[in-house]
Amino acid sequence: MAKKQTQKPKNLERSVFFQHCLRYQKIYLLLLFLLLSSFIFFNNAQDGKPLLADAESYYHLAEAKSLSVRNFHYAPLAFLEEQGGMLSLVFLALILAILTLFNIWTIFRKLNFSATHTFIFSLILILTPAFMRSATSLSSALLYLFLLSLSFVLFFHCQQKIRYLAVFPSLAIACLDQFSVLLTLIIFALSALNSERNSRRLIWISSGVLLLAAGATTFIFDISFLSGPFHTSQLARDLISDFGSFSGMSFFVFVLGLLGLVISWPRKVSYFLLYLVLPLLVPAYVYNPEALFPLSIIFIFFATRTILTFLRHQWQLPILQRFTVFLLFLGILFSSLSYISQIESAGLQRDDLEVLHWMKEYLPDEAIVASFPEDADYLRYFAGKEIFFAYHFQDPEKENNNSLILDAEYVQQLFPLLEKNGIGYLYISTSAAEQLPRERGLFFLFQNERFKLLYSSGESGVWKFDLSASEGG
Amino acid sequence: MQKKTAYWLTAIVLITFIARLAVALLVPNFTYDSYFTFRQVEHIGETGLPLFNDQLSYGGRELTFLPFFYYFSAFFDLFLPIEAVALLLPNLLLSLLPIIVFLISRKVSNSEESSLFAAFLTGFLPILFATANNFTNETLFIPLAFLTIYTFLKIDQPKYFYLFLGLFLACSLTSNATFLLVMGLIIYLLLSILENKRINRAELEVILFSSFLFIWTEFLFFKSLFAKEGIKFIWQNIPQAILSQYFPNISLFQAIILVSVIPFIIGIYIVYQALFQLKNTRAFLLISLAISTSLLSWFRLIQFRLSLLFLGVILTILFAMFYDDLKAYLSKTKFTKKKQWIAPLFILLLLPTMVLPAVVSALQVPTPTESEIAAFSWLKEHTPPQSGVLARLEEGYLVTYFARRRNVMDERFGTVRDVGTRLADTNTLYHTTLQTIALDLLDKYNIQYIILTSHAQQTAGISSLPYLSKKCFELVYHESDQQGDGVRIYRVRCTVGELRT
Repeated sequence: MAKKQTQKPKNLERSVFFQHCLRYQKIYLLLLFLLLSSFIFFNNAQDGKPLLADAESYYHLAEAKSLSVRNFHYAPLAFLEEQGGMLSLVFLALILAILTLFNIWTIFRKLNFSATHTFIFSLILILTPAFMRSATSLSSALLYLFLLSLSFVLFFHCQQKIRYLAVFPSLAIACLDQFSVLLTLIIFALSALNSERNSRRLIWISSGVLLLAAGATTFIFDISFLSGPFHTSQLARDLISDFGSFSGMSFFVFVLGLLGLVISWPRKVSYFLLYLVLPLLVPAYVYNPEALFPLSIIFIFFATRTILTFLRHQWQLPILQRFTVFLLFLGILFSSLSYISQIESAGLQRDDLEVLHWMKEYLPDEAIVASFPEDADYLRYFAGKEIFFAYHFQDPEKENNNSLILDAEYVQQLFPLLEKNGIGYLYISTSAAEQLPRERGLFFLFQNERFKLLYSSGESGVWKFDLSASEGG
Repeated sequence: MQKKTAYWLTAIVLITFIARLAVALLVPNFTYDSYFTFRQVEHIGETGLPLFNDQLSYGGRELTFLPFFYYFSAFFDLFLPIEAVALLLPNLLLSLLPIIVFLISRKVSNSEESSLFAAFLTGFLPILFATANNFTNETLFIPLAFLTIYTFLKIDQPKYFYLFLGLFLACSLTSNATFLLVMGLIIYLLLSILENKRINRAELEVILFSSFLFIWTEFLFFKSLFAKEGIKFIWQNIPQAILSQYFPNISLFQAIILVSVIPFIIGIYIVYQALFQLKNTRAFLLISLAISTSLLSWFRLIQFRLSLLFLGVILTILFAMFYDDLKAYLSKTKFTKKKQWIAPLFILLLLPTMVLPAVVSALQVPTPTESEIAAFSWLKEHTPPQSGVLARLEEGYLVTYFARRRNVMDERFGTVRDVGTRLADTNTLYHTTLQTIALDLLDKYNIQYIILTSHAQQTAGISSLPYLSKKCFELVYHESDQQGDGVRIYRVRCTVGELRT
C-alpha cells in the first residue's frame, strides 16, 4: 500500500497576505499611524477640546511661554508656537513620531533584524497607547527616543563626515532631563563595547560631549532629574492601559514581553544591552511614571521576540498556531481601541477650556489658583495664572497642603490653608467635579459666604476666596 | 470499563442525584443569589439577550458578567418551567460530576475500584452537596472545569483536543474562576520543568493558547470594569466592610469540615509523596491545580468558598491514587489477605465523616421562606412600579425578581461607585434610632417601602426598626411566620421637612 504523504503545514510567515504586508510594510504602518493619530486629533477637534490633549504638552508650552535664562532651551518651541500656532505643534508631534519610526527601521536594518521582526515591532509600537499618547502630544519621551535613535542612525552611517553629526542629538538630549542623560550614557557605553573601532570612537566622543553638555545645562538651566509626573500615579494602572490609564501598554504586550524576557535570555549581544538597561528603567518607573515609555519599548521588543518564536516554531497543532497569533493581535488591537475610546473623556473638556479662557481675561495677574494637580498645567498655560501645586513641583509640603485643601470637610480646615498660602481662587475642572462628593467637602464648603462662584460652564468652574475677610471680622 | 463498574457508577450518580433532589425539596426555595439567575433566564427568554442594563439594581446600572450559564439555562427554560430548571439542572450537572471524577481518577490511578471511591466521595463532598439549592453559574462551571481537565489529560487525541478547546471556551464564558484552571496549567508547566519532565509539545501549545484565550475573553466582557477598577477588579468592588466574608482569612478547621477530614488528610499525604518521594508525574496536573487553588486563596485572589469547592474535588481524585497505592502496598505485606476489607472500612469511615456533614450543611443553607417570598410578591402587586424598596443586601435579588422594584443594593458590586457608602447607609437604616437620619437616607436613595423579614431581623440583630412612627411609616403588610414576628412592609410617608400624602 502506498504511504500517504503527510503535508507539511503552511508557515504563516510565508503566506501571501503576510508577504504582501512585509513588502509594503512602511506604507501600511505609516498609514495606520496616520489613521490612528488623525482620529485622535479629529475627535479632540470635534469635542471642542485642545488638539494636544495631554497635560505634559501644556507643561512644555507654559515653560516656553515664560522664557528666561533658566529655561531658554524652550526657545525653539516658543518660536514654533508663535509662528505656527497650535497646528504647527500638532505637525511637530506627528513628524517627530514618523521620523522616530524611520530611525528605528534604519537601525533594525543595520542590525540585520528580519523584515518580519521590524514589521511586528513597528505594528505593536504604533498600537501601543504609550506611543499613541506621545505621538499626539508634546512628549519629552518621544523627543528623547527620536534623538537617541537619530544618534544611532548617524553612528551607523556609511559616510564618515555624516557620522560626526551624531554629537548634535547628544547636545539636545542634555537639555531634556538628567535621567535621559544617564540612560543615554549607559546605552552608549554598552554599545561602544560591542561596536567596531570607528563607531566605538565616535560613541565615546558623543558620550563625552553629552556629559559636558549635561554638566553645563544642569548648571545653567533648570533641568530636573525626570520630567513630570503629570498625573496621579498608580503603578499597575499606569503600566497597563487596559486598567484605565491614559498611557501604558496592552496587557497582552506586557505578558508577551515577560515571556520574551525568559525565552530570549541573552542569545545576541543586542538583547544583552536591553537586559542591562531594565534594572535602571524599572526603578525609574516606580519613582516616576513618565519613565514608562522607554520601559514599554523594551517590553515591545521582547513581545516581538515572543511572537516571532510563535510564528517560526513548528507547532504540533498548526491550527492552534494560527488561532494563537490571531488572538494576540486581536488582543493588542482591542487594547488600542479601548484606549482610544477612554481618552475621549480624558484631559481638558470644552467647558474647562471656556472657564480657563475666562480666567485668563478676568482674573488678576497675581492670582494664585489651587486646583487638582492634573489640571495645573492646563491652568498655567490657558489661564496664564500662577498655580499652587502641580505634581512636577515635587514639593511634599505643598502636595500635602493641596491634598488637605481638596479633601477639606470643614471651614476650620480649609480657610487657614488658603489664607496661609495666599490662594485666592479655586478651579474645579469637569473631571475633578466628578471625583468630588456633592453633599460634603469642597462643594458643600463653597456655600460659605467667603466663596463666590465667578464663572462656570457645565461642571467646570472657578471660585473666588475672599482673603481679606477673616472669621473674627 | 467493566460492566460491574458501570453499574456501580450509575448507582452512585443516581443516589447522588436523588439525595440532592431530596435535600433541595426539603429546603424551601433557592439561595438568595439564585434569583439573579432567575431574572437573567427570564430576560433571555423574553428578549434573547441577558439583562446587561438593569434599571432595578442599585436604582439603575450596567451589569457585566459572563453569559454562557444563563443562555444554557434559558435553553432548558424553553421546555420546562423555570423553577423546574432551577431545581433539576444544577443538581443534574453536579450529579454527573462523579462520572467525570471517575474518568480522571481512572486515567491517573489506572484502577476502577479506587476511581469508584473517588466518584462516591465527590457526590457527597459537603461543600459541593450544599449547592443543592444553588441556581448559579458555579453549578455548571465545576463539572465543565473537570471535564476540561479530563480532555487535557488526553490532549494527544484529536477528538479530545477539539473537545478541550470547546470546553475551555465554555468555561471562560461561564465563570472568572477559569483563572484557577489557567494558573493550574501554568504551574503544571513550571513543575514539569523543575522536575525535568519531558514537556509534551501539544500540552505546551494548548496551555499557551488557553491562557491567551482566557485573558482575551475577560477583557472582552469586563473592559469597562478593568478600566474603572484596574487590578482591584479581582476583588469585584466588594465593600471593605464585608470583604472578609468573601475573602476570609483561611480557617483550616473550616476547610477540613467542608472538604471532609479523610480526603483532606489523604490529599496532603499524596501531594507530599508525589512531589518529594515517588515523583509521580501522573498526578502533576492535579497537584498543580491544588497548588494554584491554595495559592490564589492564600493571597486572597479568589473567593475562599470557590477555592474549597475546587480543592475538594481535586482531593477526592487524589484519594483514588492513595487507595490504589494502599492496596498495592498491602499486597506486598503479610496483610495481603486483609486487603478485601479496605473498601468496607473506608465506607464505614466515610459515611459519618462525609455523608452526614454533607446533608447537614445542605439543610443549613440560608434561603428565603415562603412567607418572605409572598411578601416580596405582594410588593409587585400593590406598589407603584417606580418604587424603591429597602431590604438587606442578600435580599436585593428578591426585590428585583419577585417585587420587580428598585433595590438599594445587591451582591453584584462591580461598576457601583459609592458601594461602601451605600452599605454603610443601608446598615444605618437598620440600626439608627433617629428618624431624621433615617428619613434623610430614605430620601437620598428614593425609597418608598421598607421590608423587614425574619432573616433581616436575625442578620441585623434587631426585632424592629427603632425609628418607626405611625405618622411617618405606615404598616401596609404583616404576615406572621414560625420564625418570629414574620414579615412586615412599611410605606414611607414622610420626607425630611414635609409629610407625603
